[in-house]
Amino acid sequence: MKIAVILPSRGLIFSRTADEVLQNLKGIPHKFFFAHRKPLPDCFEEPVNKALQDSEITHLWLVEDDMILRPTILQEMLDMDVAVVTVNYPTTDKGNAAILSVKKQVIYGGTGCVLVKREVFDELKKPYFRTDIIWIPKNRGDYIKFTGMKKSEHATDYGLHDVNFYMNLYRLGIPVHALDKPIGQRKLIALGKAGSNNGAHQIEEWRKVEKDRYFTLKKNLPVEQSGNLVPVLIGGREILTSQKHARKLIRLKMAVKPPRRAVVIDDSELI
Amino acid sequence: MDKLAVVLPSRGLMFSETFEELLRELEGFNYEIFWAHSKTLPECFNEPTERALADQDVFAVLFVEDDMIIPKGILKKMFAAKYPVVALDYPFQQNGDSTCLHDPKGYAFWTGTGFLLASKSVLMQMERPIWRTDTTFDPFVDTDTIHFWPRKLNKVFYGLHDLRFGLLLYSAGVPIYPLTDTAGQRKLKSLGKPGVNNGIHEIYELTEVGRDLVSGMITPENSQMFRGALNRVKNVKIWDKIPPFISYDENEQPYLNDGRQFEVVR
Repeated sequence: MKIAVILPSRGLIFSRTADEVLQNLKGIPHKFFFAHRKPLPDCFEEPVNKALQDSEITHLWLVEDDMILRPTILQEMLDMDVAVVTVNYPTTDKGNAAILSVKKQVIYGGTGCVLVKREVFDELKKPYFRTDIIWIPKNRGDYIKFTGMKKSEHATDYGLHDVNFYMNLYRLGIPVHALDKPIGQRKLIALGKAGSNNGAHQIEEWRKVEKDRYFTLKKNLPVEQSGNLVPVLIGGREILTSQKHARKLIRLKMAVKPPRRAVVIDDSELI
Repeated sequence: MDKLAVVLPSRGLMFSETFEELLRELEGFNYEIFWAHSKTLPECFNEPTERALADQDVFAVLFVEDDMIIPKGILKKMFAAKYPVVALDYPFQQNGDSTCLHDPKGYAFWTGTGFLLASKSVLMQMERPIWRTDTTFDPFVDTDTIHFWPRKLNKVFYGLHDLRFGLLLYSAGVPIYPLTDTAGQRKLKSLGKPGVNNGIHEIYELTEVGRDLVSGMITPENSQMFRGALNRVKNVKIWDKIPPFISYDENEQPYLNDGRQFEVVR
């Protein structure tokens, strides 16, 4: 076993985070793959590709420079021995969760601390991380539908590399597991005074986090009825049609009823 | 006793490139990093230093600051010097200044603590606390002799822990040996914009060292005067108290009280 530590940084890492990363790696064979001062998604894509060139690497640990990591978190993730393990953490000072799961199935999470087995990348297409696709959620009452769309040039959405990465896993049926206990995130409030003996930076720690982003999402998304249209699967692709036409297609064995799911991914706009 | 202790005091943030360079240098060593996070000077040095010295397995301590540009392969080179205290010079505030003042034989009166390797046995013999910012040494070049004397500070000044450390070792007959290789220093110009995909921080690098130009203000006049004075130095005299020919003015600046003319480098 050899862990690739993927550490993308905007140029500064919280010293406590650096300390915690090293504590986690004690006794575990590893190699660091940094990305310094690169924009998203290159700061992930480039070190991940470099790590995959090293045939000894068995796992990729994506860890961001502002995480609050307990000293056992990497071992906890390794012990699960699954394809992908992620962990929840707050993404805002209000405690918004990084993870969105539906019926205990992780749909997406953050890239702050995630362990991915090497083989997972064999299943994924390059680029593994992209920020040009946005996923619009719609609440259909008994399920949530995510529709993938090309992000407009003027959209100001931050990130998306993480959501897209997880969405690709979900579409391929690669399950993502989550640790029960969340971690935290550090935020720089103000730089310390330069040239002073007491120049410590002002750093805030966010440790409180909602259990799952799903609740916030559901609350903020009113149920949108899809009229009289019902979904059917034609050649694996989901379409909406009238109830009468759906019955006809099913009877003629040209379509099948989609299985009951809590989440529907619509990537028809992307194909 | 085969463990290298790395004392890493940080104000809370570390340049990620410095972190990578440090890990690269430590590869192959049995090491442990003794961090100090967000502590004040000199506590950020004293606390991890004492923890490191209390570790029975530690044989040497490497002091590293969180903003250094560390040359590749330098740590092995420092060990190859086979000398109890070895350091690197690096620019301090701007390209062309330095943190190390050399003596006529090439040893250092003092260096910065950005990248400094010291044997445990030397540190163990030092008076505690090892790192202090409340005392310093003032220098005076008199013809061919450089005088240093200790001075208790009434006000708090930035740093000075390094200057005192170097001169204490110098007066004890174990001057710091500065390698000819030099390091650099990173400076944060501005923080990147949060919440955007291209939120990288603006960082610049100081890499040019002006040998012995330890003064923070290196105007051409200053550097010429300072270098001229240093070139005359053949002897070193370290006093254990303020010499009789020195007094201090109301701004705590030293002056010659015996009527001789003098010039000041700031």
